[in-house]
Amino acid sequence: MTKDYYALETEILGVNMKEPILQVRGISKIFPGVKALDNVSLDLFEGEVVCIVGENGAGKSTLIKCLSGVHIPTQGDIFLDGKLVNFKNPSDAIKAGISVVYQEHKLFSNLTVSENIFFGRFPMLKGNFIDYKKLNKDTEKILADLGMTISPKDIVSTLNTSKSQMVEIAKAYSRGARIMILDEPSASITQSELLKLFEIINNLKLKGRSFIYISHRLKELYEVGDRVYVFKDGVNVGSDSIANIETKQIIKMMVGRDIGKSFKPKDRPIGKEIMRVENMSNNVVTDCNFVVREGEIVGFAGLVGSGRSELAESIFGYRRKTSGKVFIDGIEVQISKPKDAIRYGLGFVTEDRKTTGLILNKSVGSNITYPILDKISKFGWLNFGKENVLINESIEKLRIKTPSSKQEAGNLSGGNQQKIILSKWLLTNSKILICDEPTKGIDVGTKQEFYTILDELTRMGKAVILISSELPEVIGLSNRVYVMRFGKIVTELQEQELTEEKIAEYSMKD
Amino acid sequence: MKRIREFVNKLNIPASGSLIGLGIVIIIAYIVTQGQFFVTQNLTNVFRQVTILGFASLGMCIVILTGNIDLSIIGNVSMTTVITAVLMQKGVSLPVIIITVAFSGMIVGLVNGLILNFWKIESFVVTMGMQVVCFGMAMLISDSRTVVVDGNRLLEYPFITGISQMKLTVIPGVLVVPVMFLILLAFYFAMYIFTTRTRLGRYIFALGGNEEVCFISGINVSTVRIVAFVLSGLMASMAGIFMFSRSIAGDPTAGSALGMYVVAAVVVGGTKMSGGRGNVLFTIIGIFVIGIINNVLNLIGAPYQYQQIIQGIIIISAVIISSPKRR
Repeated sequence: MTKDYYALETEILGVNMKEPILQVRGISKIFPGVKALDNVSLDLFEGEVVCIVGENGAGKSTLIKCLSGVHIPTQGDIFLDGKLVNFKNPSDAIKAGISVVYQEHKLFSNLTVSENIFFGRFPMLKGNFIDYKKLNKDTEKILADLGMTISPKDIVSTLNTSKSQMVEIAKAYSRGARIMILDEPSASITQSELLKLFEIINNLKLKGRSFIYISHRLKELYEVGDRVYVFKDGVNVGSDSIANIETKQIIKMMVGRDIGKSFKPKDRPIGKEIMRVENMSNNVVTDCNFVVREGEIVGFAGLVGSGRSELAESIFGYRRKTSGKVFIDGIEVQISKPKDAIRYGLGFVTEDRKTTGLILNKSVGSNITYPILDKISKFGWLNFGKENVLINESIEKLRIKTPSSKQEAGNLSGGNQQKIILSKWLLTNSKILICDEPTKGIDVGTKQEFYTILDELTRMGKAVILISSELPEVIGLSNRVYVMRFGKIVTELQEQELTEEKIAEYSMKD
Repeated sequence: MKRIREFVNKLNIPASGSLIGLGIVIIIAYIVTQGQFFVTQNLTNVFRQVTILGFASLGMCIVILTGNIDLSIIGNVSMTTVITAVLMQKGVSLPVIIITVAFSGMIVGLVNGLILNFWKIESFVVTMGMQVVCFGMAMLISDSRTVVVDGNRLLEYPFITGISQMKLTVIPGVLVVPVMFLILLAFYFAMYIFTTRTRLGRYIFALGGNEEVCFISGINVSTVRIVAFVLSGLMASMAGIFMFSRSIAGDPTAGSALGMYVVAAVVVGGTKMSGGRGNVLFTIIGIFVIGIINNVLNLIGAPYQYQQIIQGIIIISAVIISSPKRR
């Protein structure tokens, strides 16, 4: 179904006989070591909703950032109304009529709706006072225009995600944005709120505004989109009118790549059950049940926000659980804080190494030994000799590249930082290692090292719980995969069933 | 200035900024007092003046290392001096007095720590409230006036009244150091060993670096925080006893003289307010910078109002010298 771009263009032009308001021609963006966007082209017509889909890291966000002036493309041109534009910063893009509604909202949460919408353009009275009467009246008119039921005087922090999203749209609209880019607008709002959003989008379409809509949820494309562009590894791998394309084809385009080369065969000796989790619930996940066996890598797949990390946090005692039991080696254990989890042989490589993984201004060495200081001290006095031996062994074993163990952890590269965290949990002799996005933001070579290390660990009888949004990684490493959606485990896939299409299907279908 | 900084950075001396600050202050002290500063008698005086600030700042330093701040210290100091005076007036035995004030100080720290463990509040706010409570307690105990201990009673406590007067001649005619300063040094050294050689000490730095990581690493964050605040309370008691020893009176407002100098000394000593970085020993540099400024302003007889303004400016300058530029 992949069509040549220009053929598509002529086809559509043949129908519409209009010039696109936005034309992106052959854009590339190269970051040191990574080609995030490779020769991407895209058209957007007036009153149209174009959807962009792709896996994490496919280049969607980079494209948005190029269109909104955050990044300057390395190559290629952007035309607005046929005129070449060069955005040097976000305000250039906003002035030209392109606004982005990001996933994390960029509103002043302590100000009112109307103050946010008109920020920097307040109607003034004499003597430099803000004309609040006019401000609120104007805001009310805009909100009514768009069919939004929000009070102009509400403080933004009291609004829910969906409403603040609408405020952002209203803000963009009032600034005269002709092109609005919605970055995963459905990520954290409910179904009914989503329908309301679609209503507003359709309303704005009639007013001649155009949208670029980015989402992981393929079902939505059919409800709101006119055309779809599929991205993979920074390349536009296909585009078509929504009416002409099926979900299956989109998924295939998104994930189609050769995998398997970088992973070893999974002939690990699998032993007895080592951990069982029953009915685990917290404020994000509900009723999760799963088991882990010795020598296994158990994958957890699902979209960002599906509750995988939160499930892991509750098992480790880092997030309060509302119910649920954890059995280690068949015996029920009470884990109310990470300290308990460590005692029962759990280790947790968290998703965000900078905030929950490492103490950045402390040395590589001390970051490795924090959990085991009680083992290398007597009556509270540290045994530096013993500590240094352990540190040096760890640095050697995982080949952590650092000028010395005294170097501050924050000065190391992402991959080496991740190795420090892994070393930490290897020293505690954890039997079950939870790895949450362990290869996020790590270069290919180090990723490979990680895969080897995780594989070796399982061959030593340890178990690994692997949470990852990179499907090839989950499939290439895991013996079994649990797929999560909306805080629930929706299915368990055995080794022979593991395909990207299947995982994507379970994690995305509504 | 830039070149000097680059040169200093190359040398890689710990706390180089603080040392430069101290050097500049000493040179200025020499110049503006025409050498009067270096008279033995005056130096001894400086040592005595920095001792009380030194104890208070030591406790503050430990709390700041954990990423918190303890504003209750100065209230705690006042409370201690008043309790000491009242107990002496009643003729309570010396060991009981010492144990009582040590405990009263530590209880203040314990309460600070417990509140911060149960609720996620800024330590600034909690300890500020505690400061007010302590000043109030001091007023209550002293009946809102300075407690003057009878002369006869004082004679019964030669240790307390004498400790601030004892001196040790290091270099005859040049350097005579008060014993209480040597006690201070011993405390600093012990605290240095504690923070660098023990597990709890390591945790104190770690807590200031990143509390979440500490928690996930199985560190008992609550205990560490309580230890830091209790130590701070104990050091405030020490400062209070020495303050009483110098003035022989229990003044319920005595602690306010220390004011923000306690924090300033720690920061001038190169410890970062954000926590996790610093060294208790360098706080000694900080107390000397502040002590010397006070001393010199007294020597040249600057009017009180000007003293305050100049002190403020010099403290800011000293902190600037020991800090990197924002951009």
